Amino acid sequence: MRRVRLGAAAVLALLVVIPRARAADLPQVTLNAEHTAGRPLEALTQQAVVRYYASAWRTLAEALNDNNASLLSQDFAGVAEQKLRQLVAAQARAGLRTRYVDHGHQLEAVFYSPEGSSIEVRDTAHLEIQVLDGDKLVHSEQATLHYISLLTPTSVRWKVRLLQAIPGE
Amino acid sequence: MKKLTIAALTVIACLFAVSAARAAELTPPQGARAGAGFIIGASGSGQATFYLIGPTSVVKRQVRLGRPIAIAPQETQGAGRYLAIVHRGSESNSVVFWVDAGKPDHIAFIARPSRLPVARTNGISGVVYPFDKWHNLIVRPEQVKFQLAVGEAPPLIRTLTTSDGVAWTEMDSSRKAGPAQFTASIGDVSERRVVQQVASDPCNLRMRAQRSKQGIEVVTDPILDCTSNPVPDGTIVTFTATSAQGRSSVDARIKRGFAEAELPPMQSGNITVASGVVMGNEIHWGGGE
Repeated sequence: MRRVRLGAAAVLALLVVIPRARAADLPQVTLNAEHTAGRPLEALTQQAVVRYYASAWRTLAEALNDNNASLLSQDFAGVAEQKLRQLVAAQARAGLRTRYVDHGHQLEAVFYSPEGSSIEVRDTAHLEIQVLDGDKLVHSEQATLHYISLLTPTSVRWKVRLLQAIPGE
Repeated sequence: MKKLTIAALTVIACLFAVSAARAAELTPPQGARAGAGFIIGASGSGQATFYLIGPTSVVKRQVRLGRPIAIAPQETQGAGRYLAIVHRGSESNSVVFWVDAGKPDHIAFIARPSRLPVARTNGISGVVYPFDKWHNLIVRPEQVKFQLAVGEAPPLIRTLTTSDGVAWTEMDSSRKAGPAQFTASIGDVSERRVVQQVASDPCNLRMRAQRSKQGIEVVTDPILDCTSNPVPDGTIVTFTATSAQGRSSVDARIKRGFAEAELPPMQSGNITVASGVVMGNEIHWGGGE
């Protein structure tokens, strides 16, 4: 009986520790909503966007590092999910992996649609990108990249519906 | 002497190898568009492994340096950042270039609401995101024409330019009830939504009352909003009679533009009529209106 209790306690401890560990892995994301066109972005919505966008980037990094597309649907939807799935499949076919070391994202909210169904953000991302062919490192770079991203609400969370890299200004 | 010659040849061979590896410079395509394919230049000589990593595609193949590397249209459907790498031995050279979205193919057009009262300032919103054939957001500025038309009335037109891949507008609902055709177009690509414009709250709600066999019959004048649109049938109108005996209310639905009801008989009192938050006239029963 004591063993069962200890086992249950260990499982419980793991259940508590794993989400915290995942939360600690989240990249740093800041959001500036001062110049948002359309509808004003309330504080709670801002917090939600920051949280789910960070989660999306962690998922993206995991999916491209492990060539595992099954993770994507929790944070991505629509075109973004479809394109990332294509990329993961193409990487896997070529025997490549991409490793992202994420040094953070500065978001600027560009537009929040009046009826509240989409938020567009510009992201300035600081990333270290490594391309591996099998275990061989074939490319490594430190890059500041710019993205346009669209987020839409689902029943429980915001998901990234579009993520497109754009040239810097 | 022989040793010296061998050493010199070794040094020359190494220098040649290093220079050959360094010479594997990549020349990116200029003005590349999604789905169009392109050529990447690769200087140098000998074999190398070539990689191209785009937003939706990955290419890995052996190439002969010094010859152009052709990338097929189906490998360039994603707009965005492309990373090309040539790798030989322990040497890698890379170049980053950008592929722009293709021409507009379809529009994500969000029009809200689907139903609203007439004459509502900025009551209708339209948001447009333009996409190319491969679902790339078109980030370069594009002219969007929003058009809102009801019946034979001249349409309300607004032309805007997208910024960061989005254009949006707010428009007033017209003064005439009916289905409004709300269209967004970029060049010859357009999307249409129907926004049902319905009469607003009643305006000048008036009723008259007369004695009936069972009590008091009350009937309204034709119920119109402030821009003379008939308030839709089914809208509830409440008649209330207040007297020394108490208060009684009857809800009636508008039918063919009118609402009517029968109130219980009373000697004297007041009768009022209301619909939603709009109050109508009041009748003093027993002493005339």
